[in-house]
Amino acid sequence: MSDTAEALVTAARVEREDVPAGRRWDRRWAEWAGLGLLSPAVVVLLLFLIPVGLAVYFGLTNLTLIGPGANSLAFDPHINLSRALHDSVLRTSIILTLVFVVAGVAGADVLGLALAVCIRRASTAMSAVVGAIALLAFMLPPVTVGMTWYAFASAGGTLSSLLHQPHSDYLTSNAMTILVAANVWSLAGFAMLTCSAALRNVPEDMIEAAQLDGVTPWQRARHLYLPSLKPTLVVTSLILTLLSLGNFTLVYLLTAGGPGNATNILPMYSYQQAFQFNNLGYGALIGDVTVLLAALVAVAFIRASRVR
Amino acid sequence: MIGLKHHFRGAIVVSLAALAGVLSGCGAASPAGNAKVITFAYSTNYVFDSTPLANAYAKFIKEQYQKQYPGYTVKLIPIGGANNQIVTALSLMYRSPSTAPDVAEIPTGMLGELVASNQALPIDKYLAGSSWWAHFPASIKKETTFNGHVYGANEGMNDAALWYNKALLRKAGIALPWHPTSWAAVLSAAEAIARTSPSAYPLWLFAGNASEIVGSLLGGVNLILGSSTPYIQNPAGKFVVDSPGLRQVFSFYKTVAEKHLDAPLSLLTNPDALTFPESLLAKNKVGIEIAGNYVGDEFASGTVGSGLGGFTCSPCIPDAPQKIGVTPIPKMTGGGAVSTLSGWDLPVYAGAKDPKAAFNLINLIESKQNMLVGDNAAGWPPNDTRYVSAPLYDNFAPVFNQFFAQLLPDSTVVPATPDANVWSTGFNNATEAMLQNPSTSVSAAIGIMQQYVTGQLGSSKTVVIP
Repeated sequence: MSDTAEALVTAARVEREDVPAGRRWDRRWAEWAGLGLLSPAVVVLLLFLIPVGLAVYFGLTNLTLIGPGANSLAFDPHINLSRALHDSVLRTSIILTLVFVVAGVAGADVLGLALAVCIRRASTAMSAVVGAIALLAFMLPPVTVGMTWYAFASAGGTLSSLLHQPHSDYLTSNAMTILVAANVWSLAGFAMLTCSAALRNVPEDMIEAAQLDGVTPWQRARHLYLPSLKPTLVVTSLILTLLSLGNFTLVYLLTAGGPGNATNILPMYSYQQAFQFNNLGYGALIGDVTVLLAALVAVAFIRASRVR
Repeated sequence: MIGLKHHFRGAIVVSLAALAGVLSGCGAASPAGNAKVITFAYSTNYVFDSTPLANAYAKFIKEQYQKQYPGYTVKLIPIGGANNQIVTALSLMYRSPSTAPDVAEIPTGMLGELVASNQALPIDKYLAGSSWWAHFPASIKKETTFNGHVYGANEGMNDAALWYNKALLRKAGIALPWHPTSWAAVLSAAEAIARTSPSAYPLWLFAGNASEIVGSLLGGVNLILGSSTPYIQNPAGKFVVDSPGLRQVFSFYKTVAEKHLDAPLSLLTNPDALTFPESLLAKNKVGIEIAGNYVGDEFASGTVGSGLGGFTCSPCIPDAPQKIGVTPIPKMTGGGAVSTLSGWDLPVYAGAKDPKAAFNLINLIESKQNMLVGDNAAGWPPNDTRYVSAPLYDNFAPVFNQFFAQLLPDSTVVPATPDANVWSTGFNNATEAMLQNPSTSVSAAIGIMQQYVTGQLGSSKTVVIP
């Protein structure tokens, strides 16, 4: 053995002086100990996987809340899958959900970023007030958000009064627009918060150098700010997307999926099938579609956030 | 390191013990039903006029029962929420014998589903000994009869009529008391109100799905009963998705929409829309309403009886009969009155440990005093024809209560099953589309309804009446 190798072996022995004989931390038993320490995370994962698995199973059965299907559960994927394939309301619901989510998240990101930029340049007092108001909207319970926007957009409400059209019913005539606006209003505070923190990490000296070089504000935004903000915007958008995908309360309170099926997004349609029409199995299948959408969105965002 | 090993092993043991304890707790069997305990599930905030009143009535029944049947205990199961939430809660309870109530207050449409899932007990043999069943109208008896057997007793029903604000009609030059004999007369009166009281809504006619099936039963379905095709299901049980009668009703809605006679759609589609008619009437904000009989109770300030106390009128209208009028809904071209009939039933659970004791609870609820007190508290006409003129009932909401009790024979039970819910959703989609866009044609409205209902139920469950 060379002197170097011998020195290394000796050093390793010295490091492991306090390890009892026969007990080494790089052996197999340490891996099992690690698994045991992971058990809380496994429990949490199971608490997620088991209900989702059950929902997938029930979505392929004839389960009803009451009636003959309540007592004679049968696994028959054909019933609900065939129905889903021919259900025009489901197709419309998927499209409406995408519209609601994409428009809401994009709007919240833009508004949140704009607020973050503005409060960065404003006085301390002004930035504190604006920031607090934006955060308050995010922290309000969905029921409060729904009631607020109902009072704002319904006939005789604030919007129709401001536009001097007291009999105009904007909530009904522009239902999806009002819903998206309400969603943006409630989520922008979160985007403002994350963007504010990210903006602070943009190197000031780089910005000053760009300014001295005559770089326009748009070029600074495009080539300096946005690349720095990209990871934050991706994570923020992912969180807002998942929040929007499951936003049942706002839709139920403002429009109940109407007028007609104009705002019948997936959570609303799933509720309608399961608890108004008592088709628990079909409602579960619609819920599975929502989970699938959420999973696809999450994968897309994770890929987008990978450092290249 | 030796200490760390011991701590680590100890942590594993404690974790496993805790996990075992949690799992054993989750797997603990529910206690077996006690034959001397009768469970009674009731609605706290949707059936009776107020939650305190509902709880007081349930407690009142419980105390009477326990006094009358020593050794038995009544366990009350309050259920909150609106119609669909109550159906959901009860449906979940019925899935297990340990949670299924012996007696429950259920919406009428749910009874057929309970029978289909073998969860309701035929009570024919117990009814034979009752003093009240023979005095129930035939239509109400039929409502709880399936395959020749009776599966429950009706607790109370709602019927509907035209409510009107006397001041607004007087201002419009309409002679009082108002008794329209056709739909044209109703439209004419609404148009007159629109001209003379522009700040008021001439007509309140339910549309949209916010009020679910109840909104259509208290609204447009009354018009269907007065049309030339007065039913929503044919004798074979298929749901009508096109008929001359439906087209007549949609034509009525189209006229209402084109002339802007209805309340704003955002009000009609509010989740609380079922509670708006009475407050709008009181505030002189609406001229004519198609609404349920319970509206009159909201104005009353009396006590319901039997020491249960009164309830808070909402809104309170002293001398309501002087300010508010009520008249039957006419058929399209006259010749009689129409009204839907829907309400609440009391079934016995098929797996009840002591069905006779469970039926005794129903028997107690249907006794004269309890029936009348319950009718006052929930806004129902008495099912027992002997009591329709009882002073306790008549004096609670003078004029209105008597009117609706006399309307019962002209009323028709309308299905309120899950499939009927789908039909109602299609109907509401069509009426909502017409009110939102008055240029929507009757054929387009029929198309909206037909596409939705047939798409959801399948063509084997729907029918077109030429």
